[in-house]
Amino acid sequence: MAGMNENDAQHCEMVQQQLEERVGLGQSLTPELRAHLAGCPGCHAHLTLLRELEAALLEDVPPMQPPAHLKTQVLSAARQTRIQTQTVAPAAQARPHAARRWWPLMLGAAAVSGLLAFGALLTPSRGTAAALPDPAVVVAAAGGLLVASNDGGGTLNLLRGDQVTASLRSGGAQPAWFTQGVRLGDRVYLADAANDRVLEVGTGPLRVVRSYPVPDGVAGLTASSDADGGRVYFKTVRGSVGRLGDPQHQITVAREDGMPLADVMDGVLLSGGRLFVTHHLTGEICLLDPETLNVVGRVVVGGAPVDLAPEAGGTVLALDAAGRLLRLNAGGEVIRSWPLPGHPDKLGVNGSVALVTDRAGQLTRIDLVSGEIQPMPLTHPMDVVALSDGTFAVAEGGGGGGVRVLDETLKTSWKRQGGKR
Amino acid sequence: MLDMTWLAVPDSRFSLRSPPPAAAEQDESRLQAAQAGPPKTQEADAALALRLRQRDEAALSEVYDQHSGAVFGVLNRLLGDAAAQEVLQDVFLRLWERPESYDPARAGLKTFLLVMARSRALDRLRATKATLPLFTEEGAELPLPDSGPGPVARSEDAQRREQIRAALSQLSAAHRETVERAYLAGESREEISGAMNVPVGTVKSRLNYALKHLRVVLESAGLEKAGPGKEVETWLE
Ligand SMILES: [Zn+2]
Repeated sequence: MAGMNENDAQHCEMVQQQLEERVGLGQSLTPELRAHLAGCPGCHAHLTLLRELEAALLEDVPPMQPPAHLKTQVLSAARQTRIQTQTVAPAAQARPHAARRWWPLMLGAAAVSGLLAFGALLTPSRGTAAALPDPAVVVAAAGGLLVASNDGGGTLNLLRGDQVTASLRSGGAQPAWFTQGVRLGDRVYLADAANDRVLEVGTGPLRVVRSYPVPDGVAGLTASSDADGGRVYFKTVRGSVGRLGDPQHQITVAREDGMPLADVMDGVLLSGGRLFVTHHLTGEICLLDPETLNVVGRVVVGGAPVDLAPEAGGTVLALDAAGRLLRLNAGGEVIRSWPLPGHPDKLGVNGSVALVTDRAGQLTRIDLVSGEIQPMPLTHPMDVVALSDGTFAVAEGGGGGGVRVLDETLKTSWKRQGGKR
Repeated sequence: MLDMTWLAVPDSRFSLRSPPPAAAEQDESRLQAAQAGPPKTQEADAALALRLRQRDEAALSEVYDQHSGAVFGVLNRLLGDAAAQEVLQDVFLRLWERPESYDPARAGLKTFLLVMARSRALDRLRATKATLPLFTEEGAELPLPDSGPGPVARSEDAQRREQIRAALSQLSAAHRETVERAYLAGESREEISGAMNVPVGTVKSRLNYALKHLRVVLESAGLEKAGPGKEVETWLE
């Protein structure tokens, strides 16, 4: 080779061997190698050839369809990180959560969104004049709607009709990330996934009564006033089920450590003396004894069941985020199935009308008698709740969001606009 | 308070899976990707890359639809089903979190994702075996070198890729298996030697032969890059 002395040639041979080894093993290049490559077209060309060989072999592997629910999980995790990266503080990172092991990698993006959220935090609350910033959860509380926002401050608003009558910031070590809310009497329980807790909120007047830590992360919540005074059951991100305020009593329903994702919720519901719990990772419905919390039955329904709602006849509706609404009998078995568009993850039922929300941008109405499916585009519908007068309230996240009340024909009765201030 | 914006578009309620406003544009880019010609693919990849940087969730959904099958195929081959499912999510979320790590001028999006998938999978295998140091957290190596080709060079790259495929198909079964074990499965020379029951020296000579064969095929097709040819000489003078 013209112009190359023997030492150079030997050095290049060594470099090329190292390149072969590192590309083969999928390892990154050392700074020394990079420095050499920058000044050596021969070794550079060798690296190009190796990378092309690698790419050609990769492209020759036959494709394989991944399970459908993975897409739901990827998209909802992406959506969550887009908004939630600012909530990832040391406490969350330090947790040995398989699902969260990529969080530290997000800090680049977090730096940007974190700044925005911090700006929002500095904006003083305007009290009752406040609009609804980034609503995430809506609950039919005693005498009105309680709206919880993932706005950085964990703002809670109480609405009477379309008017905000009270507003407070729930605080917390991390900016709150509400995923679900349930009502029990004059209390509302809110799952806060960022702080791994359930907030007990009083609505007359609006105040945070208590905070229950759920160290494994809250993945699902239900309240029942059937038994003595009422109970709140929760499911953790790691697949165990417990009663709020009863830390000794917790039963794991997950058969194996799966891929927990805090943002993909599970449904918990007491019906017919059984606690129904979805386990979306395995597509199962678990039936538990509500007293002992022992698992008394499991039914594989497939897909990714994430929410549950009771029906008048003792049946239960289960929402499969892979795109099905299921009617289950008292034993948890599927007795009817409606195919749904998209990947809905929240369910509200009033009589023979079910509404489901898909955060990707759609609300879908299902007529449980005729089977008719009617979609309605919405920007970021985060939550839907059935109200006692037969209407539904929907929380719409994002900049143009807010809270909307629709009748059973999907006609909007009123909308309270969102907005950051 | 009524929302007039919503009232103005009630008709779209009645079309199933009503496309979002940007749908026309998305359909177009999907079409281009399906045509698979390098320049069009590159345009489509560049459009997706831009939208990913703008935090467009629909873009992530499209990338997933286009490439999750290929990525899952590779991961499943390297890791088996359970771990493949986990790493698959990791791959797409990394793209989502660091869209700037993908440069459409240097490589196709599919190649980028496949290389990242392989790298993450090998990482994971290493972590399990714990015989080698963990891969750095800096992410997947770019599939093409840093001073990679500009837009013009992409069609030549596609031709080179075809020649490499052809050259691989000319290898004997033993050579091909050795190459796949080394450059796909990420096995060390010693591991290959054990698995194929041949001396390490044979593994090395098979790999050297295969690389030489690739180079010869590319050269005879007039597609060689700056190897020990005239480009180097020019550069050195
Ligand atoms: Zn060199």
